[in-house]
Amino acid sequence: MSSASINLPPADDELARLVESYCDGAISSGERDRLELLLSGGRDAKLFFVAYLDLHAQMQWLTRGEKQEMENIEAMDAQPVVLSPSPLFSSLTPSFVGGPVFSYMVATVVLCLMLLGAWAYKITRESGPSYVYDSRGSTSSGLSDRQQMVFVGRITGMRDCRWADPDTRTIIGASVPLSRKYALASGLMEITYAGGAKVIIEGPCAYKVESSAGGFLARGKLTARIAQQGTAALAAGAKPQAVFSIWTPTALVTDLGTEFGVEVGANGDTTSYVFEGKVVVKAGIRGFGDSGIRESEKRPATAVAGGAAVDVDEIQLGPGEAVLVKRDEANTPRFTRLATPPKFVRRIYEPPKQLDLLDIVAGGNGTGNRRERGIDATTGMEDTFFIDDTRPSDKQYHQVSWHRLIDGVFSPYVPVGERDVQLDSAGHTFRGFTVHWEDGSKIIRTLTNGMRGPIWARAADIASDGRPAGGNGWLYVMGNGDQYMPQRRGLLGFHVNAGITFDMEAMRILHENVYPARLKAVAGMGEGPRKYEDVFGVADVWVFVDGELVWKRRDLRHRDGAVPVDVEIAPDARFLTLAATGGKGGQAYDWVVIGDPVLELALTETENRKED
Amino acid sequence: MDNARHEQFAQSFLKHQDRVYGHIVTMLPNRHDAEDVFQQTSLILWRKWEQFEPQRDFLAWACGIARNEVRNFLLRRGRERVVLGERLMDEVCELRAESQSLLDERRTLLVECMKKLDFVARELVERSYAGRESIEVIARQFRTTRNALYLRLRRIRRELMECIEEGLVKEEPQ
Repeated sequence: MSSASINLPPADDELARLVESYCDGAISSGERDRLELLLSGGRDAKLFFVAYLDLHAQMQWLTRGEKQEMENIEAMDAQPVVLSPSPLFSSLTPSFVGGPVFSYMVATVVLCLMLLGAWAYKITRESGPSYVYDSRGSTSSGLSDRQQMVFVGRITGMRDCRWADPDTRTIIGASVPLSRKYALASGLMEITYAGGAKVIIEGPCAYKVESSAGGFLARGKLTARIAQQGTAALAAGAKPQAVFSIWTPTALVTDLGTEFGVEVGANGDTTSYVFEGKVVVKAGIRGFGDSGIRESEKRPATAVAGGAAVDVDEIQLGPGEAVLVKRDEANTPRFTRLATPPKFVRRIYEPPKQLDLLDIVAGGNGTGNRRERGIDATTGMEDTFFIDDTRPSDKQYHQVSWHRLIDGVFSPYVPVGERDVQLDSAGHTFRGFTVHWEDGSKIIRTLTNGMRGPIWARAADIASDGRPAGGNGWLYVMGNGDQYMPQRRGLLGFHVNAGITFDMEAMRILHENVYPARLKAVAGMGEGPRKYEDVFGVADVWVFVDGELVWKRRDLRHRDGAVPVDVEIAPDARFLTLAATGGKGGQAYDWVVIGDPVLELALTETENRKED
Repeated sequence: MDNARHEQFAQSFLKHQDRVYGHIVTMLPNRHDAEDVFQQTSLILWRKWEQFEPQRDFLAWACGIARNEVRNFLLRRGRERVVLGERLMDEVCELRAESQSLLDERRTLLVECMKKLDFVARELVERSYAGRESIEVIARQFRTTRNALYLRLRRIRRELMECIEEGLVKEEPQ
């Protein structure tokens, strides 16, 4: 046993139960006395207590950063505050220094410093030792440097970054202090400011974060997207956002709308382009470290419009407009409107191309590879073991509370005639599960009650799962089922009578800029050892979108092999329902599997425009 | 206080702050209580830093102060809380100090184990532990009850404990 191991009591052990109650603050006085008695019993019990509480503490600590960070950022939002006590102290009179008010101020500043430092250290510690974390990009970690740190945002995206200056290296998730420089040789990096503005810098470039609402682009390209502050937020008392501005060696580009690009050439010439909204471009001269346009360099700019030159202070650009600010021989900035703007990267995040329904059923968000979990179609509860039991239906639609991408489940039960079966939480119903047409005649079949086992996300290779061969029910007895999963993703076990509805609106919210455009899968009937050789599985498989039947396969049998499912989905469709019901001859051996089920995603129209 | 002493304090404090926080949570598992005491402890540590002798163990010193601050907190608000008795609390603190390397090793594995939690469990942990919303609000959004949510969190903590144990077995040299 490792030296850090402890004796973990079983989950139902009294000690474990009491420690859990203590942890949740739900322990009674009587239980406390009992816990004390058990803890007094020996070192193992105490060590378990200490380890369990330390886990609880660490879970608090690991989720603490965001809150702390937001508090820090909110405090600095309106105007950056540099926590440097020296100028403040030197301006105070001797009588004030040492007084109670002064002491209180010192204590407050120190406390702020410590909380800020605590947060900064936590981030750096999690980010790895190579991360540089001070205002100058040096590796010093002294308090005097930390005192200068004011965080104005966070690195929220990186792609293929190579660094022109290794001292400016950073990592995704790292906080962005004021005055931090980033020099990329190539690649893309996204900074999200605390106010919501997002800046994507594109290498080769050099960018310095100069305020909580802007920066200085010395060379290279960037795209800035500024979140609009709603009137409702302002009415609710939110602080107005600062105007977002990008300085360059020759211009100041100020946002009046939502999205724009700026490119600075090697000679400092600046090109500004507006995607959406408006910007104002002013001409001026400045460099790294300047606090503004040099007074001596301020001069009227010249705009060239329709062949005529006019003196202007600034120029306003609307969507699709671009302007170049260039200095002439006399060092006078000139505005020239451009017909062909440079290309800018507007999105760093690559949205997923498809969502894996097996991953979702197993508890994931569709982009992972979770398997071997499922959901009980008769209750909506999560299932962690595949138990091949008969589960009676209560005829109800069960909304799923624990998974935002699954709207609900149901087990259609129609003992006689026809009956509306609810398919989703919006109340869409379907009446045709029992209706068949044969030789032009309408035949009503009945659906037996319940299903066997859960709706289950089975891994592609059951041997690798370590389950005993031939054990654990129909989904494992049927063998690997390779013919139903050409992509080897896995199988959705779907014994009749069962249905599951996915919430595609939730998918669109979770995965921005894309929407489920197509369902692709393979339907099939599993086959395995049967007690009654003359009884075969026959089932109907159904696909609905917002309650509309969009795909069906009646009387699916094992001999039908792999049946492709390919369903197009509208961009605004909300619910996707898959269901399997008993075909001819009841539900015996109705081992329906849906192999490799994925939702192919398409870019939203807006994103498509950006791609262009 | 000169800059070098400033720096020493910052380095020591930043190095041990999560351990000090863990120490407090052992005695006060409620997040808001623990945060209150942690803040107060941080301030006292700073105030008393002049008296700290560099050859002493910073963590032991800080945990001693944290222990006192927990006592003060309980004197003020203890009636509302069910906590362990004084003597047992001292014994637990002592064991905790002895077991620091064990706890450090387990913490490293905890981070990995939290990454293995499924999507729903991670979201539940993050939201429940972040302390920004009440458990009732989170339970409503997960369409469940407060008690069911606590049970789920217990199961998750159990899974994490087991995952840590498994990780320790894997790490052990064969």
